[in-house]
Amino acid sequence: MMVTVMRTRIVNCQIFDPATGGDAFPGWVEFENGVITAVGKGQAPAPSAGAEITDIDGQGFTLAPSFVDMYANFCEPGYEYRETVASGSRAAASGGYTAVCLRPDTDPIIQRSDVVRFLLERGVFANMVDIFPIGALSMNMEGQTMAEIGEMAAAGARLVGEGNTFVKRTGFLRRCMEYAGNFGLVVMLTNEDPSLAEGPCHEGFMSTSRGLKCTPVQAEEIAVARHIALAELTGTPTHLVKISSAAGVRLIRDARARGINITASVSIHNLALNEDANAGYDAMTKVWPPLRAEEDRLALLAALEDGTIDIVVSDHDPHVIEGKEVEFDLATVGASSIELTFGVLNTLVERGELKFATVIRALATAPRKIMHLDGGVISAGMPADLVLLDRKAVRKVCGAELVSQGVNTPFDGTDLAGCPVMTFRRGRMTFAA
Amino acid sequence: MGETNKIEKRVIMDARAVELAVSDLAGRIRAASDEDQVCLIGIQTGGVYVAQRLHKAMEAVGFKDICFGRLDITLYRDDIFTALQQPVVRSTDIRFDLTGKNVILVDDVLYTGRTIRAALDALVDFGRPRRVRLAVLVDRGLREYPIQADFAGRTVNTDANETVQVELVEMGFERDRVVVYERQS
Amino acid sequence: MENPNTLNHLLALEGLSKETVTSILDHAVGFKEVSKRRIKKVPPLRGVTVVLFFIENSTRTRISFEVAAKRLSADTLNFSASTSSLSKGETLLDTAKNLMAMQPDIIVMRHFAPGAAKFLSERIPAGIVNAGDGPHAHPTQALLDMYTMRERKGRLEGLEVAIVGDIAHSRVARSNIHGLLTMGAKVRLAGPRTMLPTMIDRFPVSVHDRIEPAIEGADVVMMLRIQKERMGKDLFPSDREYARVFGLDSQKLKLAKPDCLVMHPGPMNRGVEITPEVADSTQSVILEQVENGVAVRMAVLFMVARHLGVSEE
Repeated sequence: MMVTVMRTRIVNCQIFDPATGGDAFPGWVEFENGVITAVGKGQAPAPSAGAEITDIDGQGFTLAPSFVDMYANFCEPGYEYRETVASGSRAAASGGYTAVCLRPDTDPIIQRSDVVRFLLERGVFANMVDIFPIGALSMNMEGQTMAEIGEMAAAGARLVGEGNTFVKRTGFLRRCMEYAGNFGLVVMLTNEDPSLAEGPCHEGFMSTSRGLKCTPVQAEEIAVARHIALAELTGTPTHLVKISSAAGVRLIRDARARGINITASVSIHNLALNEDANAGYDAMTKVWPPLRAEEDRLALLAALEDGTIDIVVSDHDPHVIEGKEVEFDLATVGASSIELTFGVLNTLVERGELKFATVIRALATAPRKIMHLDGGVISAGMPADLVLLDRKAVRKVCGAELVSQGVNTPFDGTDLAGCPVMTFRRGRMTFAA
Repeated sequence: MGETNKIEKRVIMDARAVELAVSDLAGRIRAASDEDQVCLIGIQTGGVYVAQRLHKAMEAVGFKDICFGRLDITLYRDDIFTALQQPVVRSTDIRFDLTGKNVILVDDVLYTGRTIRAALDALVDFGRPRRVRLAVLVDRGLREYPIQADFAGRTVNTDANETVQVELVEMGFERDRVVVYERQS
Repeated sequence: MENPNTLNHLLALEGLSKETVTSILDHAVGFKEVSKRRIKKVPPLRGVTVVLFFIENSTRTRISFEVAAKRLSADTLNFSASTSSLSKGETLLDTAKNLMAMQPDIIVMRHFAPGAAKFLSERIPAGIVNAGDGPHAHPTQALLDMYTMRERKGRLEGLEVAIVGDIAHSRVARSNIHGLLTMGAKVRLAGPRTMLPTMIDRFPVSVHDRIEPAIEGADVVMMLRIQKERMGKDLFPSDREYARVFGLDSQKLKLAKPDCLVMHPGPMNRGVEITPEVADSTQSVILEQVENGVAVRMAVLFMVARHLGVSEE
């Protein structure tokens, strides 16, 4: 684990510390050996004579704790033509992330300790972000036999889940969740009953008008209800991944009120876009869960604000252009997103649809809480996992020029307000714009 | 036809002159035809009205069996896709086989000859006439194709920036006239 | 400024102005006459190459377009999925780019994926005519349906038109809805609830889950084909039940106006959505639809070629 030995300061910036709750204040931060040593308001004091300090000028920028992504696909092993841990890590660092959780649906699937160890090593080798592999619940994700969850936990996995697959047998899922709870793991579940799902679009006016195969919100609602019930039954911490509907939000709010141990996430695509984006059959807008109605989008924003939804995930899923330059029905599903999450969310802040504090909570604080990671606040003694953000810069997204190997994003050609300019992982700069 | 921005320059035929010209045409066609049977094909749209007038006049001079047809030549025009004004396809109504018939093609104004060329192309698809002759109310010269009228009611010299319009009451005008207009740019 | 006398592409009727739709129908009048001549040919598309790019198979629509193109003196090329490189895994885009080597001016395309025609129109420099893209649109079918209605009834404005059947999966229904609403007709939809798409009532149409209220007092009844392929999808229990409850028979037809037209896009399932008596009755204009189809497709090809010709200037 590489740390920066030298004393480094970031000065003249706006510090946004989620712990203090309020607005950003002008100040400075010092860190050494990977740990924050001092935080101050206003002008940084002049370094004492003989002290070797590197000062980084954060004029015009906001310093926040770095981001943690709980659901991404770096396509390694098996699909390296789309992305690798190395290229994905670079993209993540450019997005302000210092930790990323990887979906198990690679090839081979993350279902044994050796793949867990492989990915941890790849992460160390790339040396950009901490990699947290999500182990599969069942062998080959077929929902028949449990995977070696205990062994994967011993190898370092903290999370398990079945990727984007729905575990068909409810009784089997119950046993997997109980067993995972044994090892202190968080179970991550996506939410769509496949027998109701006829296609990748939202069943609504757009799908009717465009003749697109679609899925009603009830497919999510039924799955969320099932998972909440099993969370209650097993007591295992359960995370509902990528909620996309007002119906899902309603159930989660109710479950929270009853004290059930669940958390939830939403993807940037469902926060920023609705079903209208599918109108022109642009395969770049083909994502899962589907882009739903505007009422759903507004419900998701409100749920994120009031904490019903805890975190935002990137749902990073890069594809080569050949997968998207085809008819909508045949196109691959997913978008390359990890470097854009802050820009997308900050754009929503600029539009008045989200608060900045909510964004930092959703990207930095809450994910660490769910995963029991240190940090997420800017105070002495905390790890120097930081991101310097430019909240004003407006940049046009260009799919072909993403840091990620993937070129697929529904935001291609749109202007986003705000972007990370520097990322620090344990005091070491992993990204500079 | 360009309807906008034209000013009237001179009236070359009034109602009386039109009537005389039509009977004169009928008479000359009678003199130049052995048979009593003839087919009048009017070219949409002006030629159809003139042909209807001619039909009556020809019955008066002894033609017994006149079949009448309308021909729209839009689809045969050589400028069908490039004309600034896109002409609308009108109806063609020729319900008889032209094979062996004595056809008189009728138009209101003979100008470049391109309309007649298109009409001849179209006629070919309706059979093989024994003969085809051309009757027009006005020949205004300025030919671009080697076409001539067998029977012309009136021949005038005109300039390229002028248009010649045949205006008949059945077309909605107050009285029959043939007018030379000058195009304003 | 949209020129109502030319068409850049014909991808769907949605968004076409009333003037343009009227222009297409008016042009079709002139072209219908051509089909009555002894020599059924006129020269405007001489030298124009029309490719019939049918990824989803269809004999009748393809032949209709082929006849239309040939009657305009165009050269036609046939390209169908089974004999094509698509079955060997070549993408649609690559296939289309290879087609362009033959320099087609117009591509008439049928595909099972919605949006496929639009997809090509954004990438290929030819005029694209959509002959059906999945359940989304089939503009020439709706145009020939409207032509038939207008010819028989003298107008489209205010006509009460009932469309009955599998609305959810029907491109014929969708295109007719857009076309008829544009032209001021009133549309009633009917079908089993399993075949009515969600929020279809956001269009200004009336929606019924039984055929009787939709047919009552109608000027036109259009029966949609029940696709056998749908049978395994839990949409309705059997042909027999569908025929009894939703099929058009002489008894139900009496609910409509006495001179109500009976239409069907074909091919018919006699005895399922329509009884043989009704299909062959004097009120049925099903064969006229086919005849009018050629005229309407001639008008569409003509107007697309005209746009290409003008844009070459």
